[in-house]
Amino acid sequence: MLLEARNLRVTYRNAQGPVSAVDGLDLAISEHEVFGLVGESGCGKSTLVKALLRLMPPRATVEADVLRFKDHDLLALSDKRFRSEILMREIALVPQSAQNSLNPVHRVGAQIVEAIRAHSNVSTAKARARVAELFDIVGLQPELMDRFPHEFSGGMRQRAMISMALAFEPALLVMDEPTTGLDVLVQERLLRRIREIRERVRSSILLITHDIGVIAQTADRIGVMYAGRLVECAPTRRLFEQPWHPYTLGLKNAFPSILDFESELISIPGSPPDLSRPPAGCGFAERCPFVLETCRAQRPPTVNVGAGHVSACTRTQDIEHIRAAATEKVTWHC
Amino acid sequence: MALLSVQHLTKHYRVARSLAAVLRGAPPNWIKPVEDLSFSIDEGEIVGIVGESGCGKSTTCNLLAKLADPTSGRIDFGGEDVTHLSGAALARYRAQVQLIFQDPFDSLNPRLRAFDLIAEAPRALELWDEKEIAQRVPRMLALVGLPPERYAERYPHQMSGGERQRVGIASALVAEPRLVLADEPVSMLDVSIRAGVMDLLRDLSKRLGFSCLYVSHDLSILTHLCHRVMVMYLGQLVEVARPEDLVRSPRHPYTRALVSAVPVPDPAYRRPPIEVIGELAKPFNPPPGCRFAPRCPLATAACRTIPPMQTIAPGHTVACHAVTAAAVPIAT
Repeated sequence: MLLEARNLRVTYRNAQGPVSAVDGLDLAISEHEVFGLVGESGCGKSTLVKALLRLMPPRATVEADVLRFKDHDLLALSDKRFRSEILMREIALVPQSAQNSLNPVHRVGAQIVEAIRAHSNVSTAKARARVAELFDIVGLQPELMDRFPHEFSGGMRQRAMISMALAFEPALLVMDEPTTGLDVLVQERLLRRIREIRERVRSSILLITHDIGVIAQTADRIGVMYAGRLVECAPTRRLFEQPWHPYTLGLKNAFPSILDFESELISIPGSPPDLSRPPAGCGFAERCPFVLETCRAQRPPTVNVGAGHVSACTRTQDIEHIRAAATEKVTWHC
Repeated sequence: MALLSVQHLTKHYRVARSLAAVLRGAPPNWIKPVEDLSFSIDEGEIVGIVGESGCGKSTTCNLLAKLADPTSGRIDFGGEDVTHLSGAALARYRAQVQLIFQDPFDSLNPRLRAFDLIAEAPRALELWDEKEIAQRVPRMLALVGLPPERYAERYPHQMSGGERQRVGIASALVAEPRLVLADEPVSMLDVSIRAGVMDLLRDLSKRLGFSCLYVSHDLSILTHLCHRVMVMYLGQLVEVARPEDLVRSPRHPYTRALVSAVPVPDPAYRRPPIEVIGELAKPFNPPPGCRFAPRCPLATAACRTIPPMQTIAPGHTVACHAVTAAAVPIAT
C-alpha cells in the first residue's frame, strides 16, 4: 500500500466554531494506480489534498488513527522532514486552476528549474536538461521552455504544471481538478496525456474531480466522497455497473450522458449538510429516499460488498430494492 | 412560427493599436466574435448553442439582449425589426427578452431579499404597481419551487447555489418574457442539483410558453434539454440539428471532434478518434473563409471562402464545403 489513511479528520477552527471538513475518511491507494476521487463542492476533497500536502492554515488540525505513506508515519513526521523528503520528491501536487499557477513575469522553464533546485542540489544546466525531458513526457516541445506563460494556451500551461510535479518522479501525483476550466477538446487531449504519462512513469495518481465523466475512463478505482467521508469505493467498472450507495445511485441519475436520450435526468433533492454542525449519523441521511431511523442516529459502518468494493450504508441487505427504486423519479421527488 | 429570426448577424470589435503601428500605417486589428450568423427560434422552442471558449456564444446572447449593437445583420422579433431599437421601444423589447446569468453567486445583489430581487425588473420597467407586484412575486417564487413564505425574505447568502439560481430564473421570468437567454445557467452548480434546475426551465417553458436560447460548453446538457442544438466555432455557425442527429451522425468535422471529446460516464465507452489539428485559436484577425479550416482534416483550397449553410437531412444543416460536396442537398 502506497498511502493509507484511517479515520482521517481535518477540522478548521473559525469564529463560529469548528468545521469538520474531513470527518472520518478511510482511504488506501496502491502502487501504480489511478485513484479517482469524486465529490461535489464542500465534500472535503480539496481539504483532503491540503491535509496530505501539509498546506493547511495554522488554525486547522489533522488527526487520524493511521496516516501512512510508504514507510513513513505522516502523523509523526516533522514539517521540516516532510518538506525535504516527501514534498515534490514523493508526493507532488498539480494544483487546482493550475493554468493560473505560473508566475506571469518569469519564463516557464525557469520556474520549473527553480522548483527542481529548491528540492535538490543539481546545477541549473542539469535542471534545464531535466525540464526538457519532462516537457517531452507531457508532450510539450522542449524549445517552449523559454517562453512566458501568456504565450502558452490553457492546456499547455496545465501540462507545464504537470511536468513540474513529475520532476522527481514522485510515487504519488495528486491532481486537483486538472481539467476544470479547460475546453472539451483540450480536456480530452489532457486526459489522454495523463493515461500516457501513467505508462511512462511509475507514479500513482490521485485524481480529484467533481466530474464522473472525466474519471470514468481514466481511473482504475473510484472513491465517492460526501460530507467529509468516503461513502463508496470500488474498481471503476464495478462502481458504474453495480453502485451500492444511494448517493452514488443519485449521482448516476443526475449526470447527463450524450449516449443516452431515453432516461430522464433526476436531481438529488436538498443540499449537503452544514459541516459546522455535522450530523450524528449518515451525512447523506437528509437527502436519502431510503433513510431509516438508525441512519440519523448513528454512522453507518463501511461494509465490504464485493471484491475491493466498500459502501458506507446501513441498508446494504436491501440493495436490490434500492437499486430498482433509485431509477424512478418519484423515489427522489415525491 | 419563428419568434426570433436572425440574419447575417455580425459583431466585430476594433482593437487599439500602438502609436508606432498607426504611424506605420499598419492595418487595424479586429476581434471578430460573431460572423454572419443566421438562425431562428420558434415559439416555445428551446435551442442550444454549444461551443468552446471564444466561439461567440456569449456575444450572441449579448447581441440578442441588446446589450451590444451588431456591426451588421438584422434581428427580427415577433415579426418586427428590432436591430436598432432605442428608448421606449427598447424598454418594451427588454421586458420580453430576459437573461439568466451563469453565476448565481455574483449575479444577485447581496443586499436585496429574494422578493426585491425578483421585483427589481418589473419596478425598473414600471410594469405594474406595488399591489400587483406583491401578488406576482410570491406566485413566481412558488413556480420555481421556492415556497414564498420561507424564501421571500431571504438574502442570497442564506440560500444554496441551486436556490439562488432559482431566484435568478424567477427574476428572468416574472415579467413574462417571450424569449429567455440562458448563458451557462447550471455550470456553477453541483451535478446533483443541475438536473432539477434544467427540468424547471423546461417545464416552465412548456407551461408559460416562452422560447429559450440556452448557451453552454457542455453538449451533454444541451442534448437533454434542447429541441435543436447549434454548434459554433470561432464566431461561425457550423452545424444545426436535433440533439439525436447531432450526436449520432455529426457531419461537420468540428462537431465530430466535439461529440467524440465529450466525457461520457461509462468506463466501457470507446470514443471515436479525434482528428482535429493544433490548438483552439482566438477570433483575433481571423483568416477569411471557414475558420475551422486551419485545424480541419478535410480542408481544401475551397475552404478559403465561407461555406454556406446547407440542409443535408430534414432539420439538419451544416456549413462545410467538404461535407456538402459529398452529399446531395435536399430541398427544405
